[in-house]
Amino acid sequence: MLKRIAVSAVILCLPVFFAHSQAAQDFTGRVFDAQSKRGVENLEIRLRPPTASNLPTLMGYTNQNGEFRFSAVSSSRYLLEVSQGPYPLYRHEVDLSQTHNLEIPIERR
Amino acid sequence: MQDPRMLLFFMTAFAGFVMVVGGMWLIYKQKIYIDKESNQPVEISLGSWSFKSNYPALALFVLGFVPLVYPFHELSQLSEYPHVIRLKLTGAPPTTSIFPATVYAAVTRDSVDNEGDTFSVSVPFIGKGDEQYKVLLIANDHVLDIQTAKNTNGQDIPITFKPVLSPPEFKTTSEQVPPAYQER
Repeated sequence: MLKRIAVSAVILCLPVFFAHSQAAQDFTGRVFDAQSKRGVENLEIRLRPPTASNLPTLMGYTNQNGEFRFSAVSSSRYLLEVSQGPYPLYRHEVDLSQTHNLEIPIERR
Repeated sequence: MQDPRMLLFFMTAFAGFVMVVGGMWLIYKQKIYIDKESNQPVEISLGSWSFKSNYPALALFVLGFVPLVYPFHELSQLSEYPHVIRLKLTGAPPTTSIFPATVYAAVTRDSVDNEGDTFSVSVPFIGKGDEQYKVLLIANDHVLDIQTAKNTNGQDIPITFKPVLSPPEFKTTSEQVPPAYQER
C-alpha cells in the first residue's frame, strides 16, 4: 500500500518537476565600456537557443544605460551574442537556470 | 521503373519500331500492288514534283530509325536532365512590427573566412534559364548587400558587392559559435 502511494506521488510530481525545469524567467543585463564603465546603447542582444531546440531566438537592444531585458525566457541554455551592426562584440554560452543577470564589459578599439 | 521519363523513351522507341516495320510491310505490299497496265508502281505527279507510290513507305522506313535509335542515345544522358519538382515553402513569420518581412530560400552558400578570399556558389538555371537570382551578402546574420544575377551567355557571373562598412567602434570577439549552436 505504501509502495503504491509512493509511486503515485512520484508520478503526480513529475509534471511539476518538468514545469519547473522549463520555467520562464526574466533575464537582464548591462553592456558597458570597460574603461569608462558607461553603458553602451543601441547594441543588438541576441539569445540563440541550441540548434536542436525548438525554442525561438530572442532579440533585443540595449537602452541608453546599456541595459537590456528579456521577459519570460525559458530556463534553458542559450548563446548570448552582443553585436554592433554586423560586428560581433561578445559571444558566450549562458545557462538561464543559473544566471539571471549579466554584466558585459566591452573594450574600445 | 525508376524514372517515369523512361516510359516516354520506350514509347518513342516503340513508335520508331512500328514505323520501321510498317514501312517494310508497305514496301513489301507495294511490290504486289503495282499498276496492272504498265506493270510498274503507281507514280503520282504534283506539278513539277512527282514520286512513286512506294516512296512514302520508304521514307516511313528510314524516318522510323530516328525515334527508334534516339531514346537509346538519350537514356545514357538521362542524369544530365534533373527531374525538377516544384514545392511551396509556406508559413508565417513570427510576430514582428516590421513590414514587409522578406523570406528567402537557399540551398547553397559559401563563406569567406579571410581578407582577400573569394567566394564561388554553384547555382542551377532551369528551363529557359531566364530566372534572376538574388545574391545576399550576410555577416553575423545581418544582410549587408543584395545583388542580382542573371544568366546572359552561359558564362560564370561575377558579383560585385558594394563596400558598405565603417570599422567597428569596439573590439570584435574571436569567440567561435559552439557546434551545438551552429546552423546545419
